[in-house]
Amino acid sequence: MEKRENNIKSRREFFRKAGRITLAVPLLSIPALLAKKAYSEVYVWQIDPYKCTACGLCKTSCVLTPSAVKCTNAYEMCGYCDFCPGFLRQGARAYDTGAENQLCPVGAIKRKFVEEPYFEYTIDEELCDACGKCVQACSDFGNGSLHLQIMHGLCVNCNQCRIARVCPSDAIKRVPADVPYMSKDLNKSITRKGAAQTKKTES
Amino acid sequence: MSSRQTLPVIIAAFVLSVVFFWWKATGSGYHIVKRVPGMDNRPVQVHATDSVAVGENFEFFAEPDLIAEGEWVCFRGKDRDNISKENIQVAENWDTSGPPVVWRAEMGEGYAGAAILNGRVYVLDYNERLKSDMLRCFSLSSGTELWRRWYRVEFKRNHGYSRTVPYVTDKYVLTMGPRSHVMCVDAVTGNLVWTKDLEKEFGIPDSPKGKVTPEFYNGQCPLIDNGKAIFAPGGKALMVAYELSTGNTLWQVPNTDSMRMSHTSIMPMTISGKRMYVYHALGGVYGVSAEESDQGKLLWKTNDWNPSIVVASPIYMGNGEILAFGTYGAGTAKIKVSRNGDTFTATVVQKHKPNEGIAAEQHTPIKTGEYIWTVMPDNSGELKRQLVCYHISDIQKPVWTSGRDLRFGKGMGPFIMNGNNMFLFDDDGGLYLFRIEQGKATLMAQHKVLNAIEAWAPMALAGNYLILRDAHNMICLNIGKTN
Repeated sequence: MEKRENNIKSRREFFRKAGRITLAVPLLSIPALLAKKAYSEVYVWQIDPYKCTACGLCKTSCVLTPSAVKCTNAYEMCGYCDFCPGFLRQGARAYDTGAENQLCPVGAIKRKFVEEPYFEYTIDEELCDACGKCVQACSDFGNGSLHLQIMHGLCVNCNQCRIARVCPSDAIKRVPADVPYMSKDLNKSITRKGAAQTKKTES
Repeated sequence: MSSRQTLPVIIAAFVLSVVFFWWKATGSGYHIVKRVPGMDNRPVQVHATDSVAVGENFEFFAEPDLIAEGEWVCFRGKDRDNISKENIQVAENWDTSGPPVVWRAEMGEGYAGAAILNGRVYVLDYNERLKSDMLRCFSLSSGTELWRRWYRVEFKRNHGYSRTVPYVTDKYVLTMGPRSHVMCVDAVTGNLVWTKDLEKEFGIPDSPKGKVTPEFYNGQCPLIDNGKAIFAPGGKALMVAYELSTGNTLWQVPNTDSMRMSHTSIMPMTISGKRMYVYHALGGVYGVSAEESDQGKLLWKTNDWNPSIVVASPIYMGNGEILAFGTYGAGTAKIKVSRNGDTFTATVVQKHKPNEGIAAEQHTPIKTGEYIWTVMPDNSGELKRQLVCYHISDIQKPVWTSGRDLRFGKGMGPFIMNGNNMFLFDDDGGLYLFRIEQGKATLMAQHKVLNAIEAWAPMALAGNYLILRDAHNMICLNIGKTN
């Protein structure tokens, strides 16, 4: 008899607890969902690296000096080449770190020896002024891993981005603040190549 | 000077010294860092000392089943102009499945193209499992592999491995591998005739400009001319000729300007009545006599056109004018070669960037009559990746373009001609057939024949067979008319 009463008690207890949880979960999650929704409705400016032609206007048109746009390297696409066209200028007399051989006018690209003949290339964002010379050279024949991005630690998110107004390739767009970067990646590059091909075949 | 006049000077000097000491004390100044060689921690480069037994291994598989007609004996064909002179009845329309695939072969990663003669196809492949340069001989009609000869040579993948097209004659096949190993073998049996290691023979140890094999490995295709095998190694020699049957050195041109091997190939040209071998090296462009009377004599050179990397070979426009191309946005130069008696001089008369006129990043343009055809590189502004045509009188204004809606991959795929037909293979695997009339092209057919990755190898066209490849697969198509 006592055992039966205990069972009923624990069953009641169970339903009570389950009811509380059922009510509490949606109540607690509503603010989180609302916060997330509100955050995702915030948009920031970003450069579509697949549209960008590295024309150099990001350097001169941003309201900030130096520009909030910086070069970045997509490592999975980088060839780690000894002759890196983004690092070395045309006609470089030697493939080394001498200033006279470097393409970057402010020395923002650093390279570190990995093993012959490979080097890792990193960007010193404090020095980079978004001239885009390295980006253009890298995409000429290289793997196109160097690309420009708006850095949100610097960008003041103007209502009307001044770079967007002058960008000749319409590469600056509004993106959700929770996905603020449009980095290049290998898979995306392959998919885009495929899509371009399909479009061509259809036409 | 009165005290009224000296007072402002004293005050100014005082203010300036206060500012100076404040500046020094707070350390607010420019942070100057020297950019000098060695900041990448690269150790001293050691020249390769590995001993390579060129051509040491051989394997025979089969006799050819059928000797199919047609030839494409070397890089850009016998006349080095990338135009097949054979009378081919090309199918002008393809059905939905495209031109029929005759055979396929799997390749090591790379961009090596095929040479074709007497029903046999020769490819200098790289076997990644055996870490070996491997000359593979296939039947043209069936794709059956007949034999292979190889040698172990280790190097790191850097944009694939293989690059070059062999040169084949009735007797011999001549190859040059990615690390500048030369091999001459019997074209039918595959027996080894002679070998060379150009890195060892011409490299200058501990000299960056004495390196033979260039960055990204060798892309120079061998040349055979009048029984001579000719190479442009750099290092100790600008150019060298070996007797084709024995490998004995016939002549070599000293390299006084420390020019280096590029990815271009030697182009025979006749300029002002003089036959010569023209080579676009890293460091300059030069011409060496190809005539028996003074063969091996350096006729002219210029260092005024010096891009960092060069891939497309120079072409002769006529009237003593050569077009030389550079990669990575270097653009194009027009070089005028003038003759005065036995003396030749070369002058760079025009230079332009890829967005200012004709350019070639990887594949050498084709000249037909007075027109030059090329696929423009990615950095040539609105013309990027388009097929374009220029008249030789104006290399900055195209007379025809394929238009903004017809661009080709990344603009680095090959193109080849037969009669007035041009086959263009974009680097994503799309094959296009154009009908060329004067300075205009009409698209006749197109089909995606490969789901390609980096289809950068030169094509070969022999009889009805068009051989093309991407980084991993080679296919042979029948492009002839079918009944």
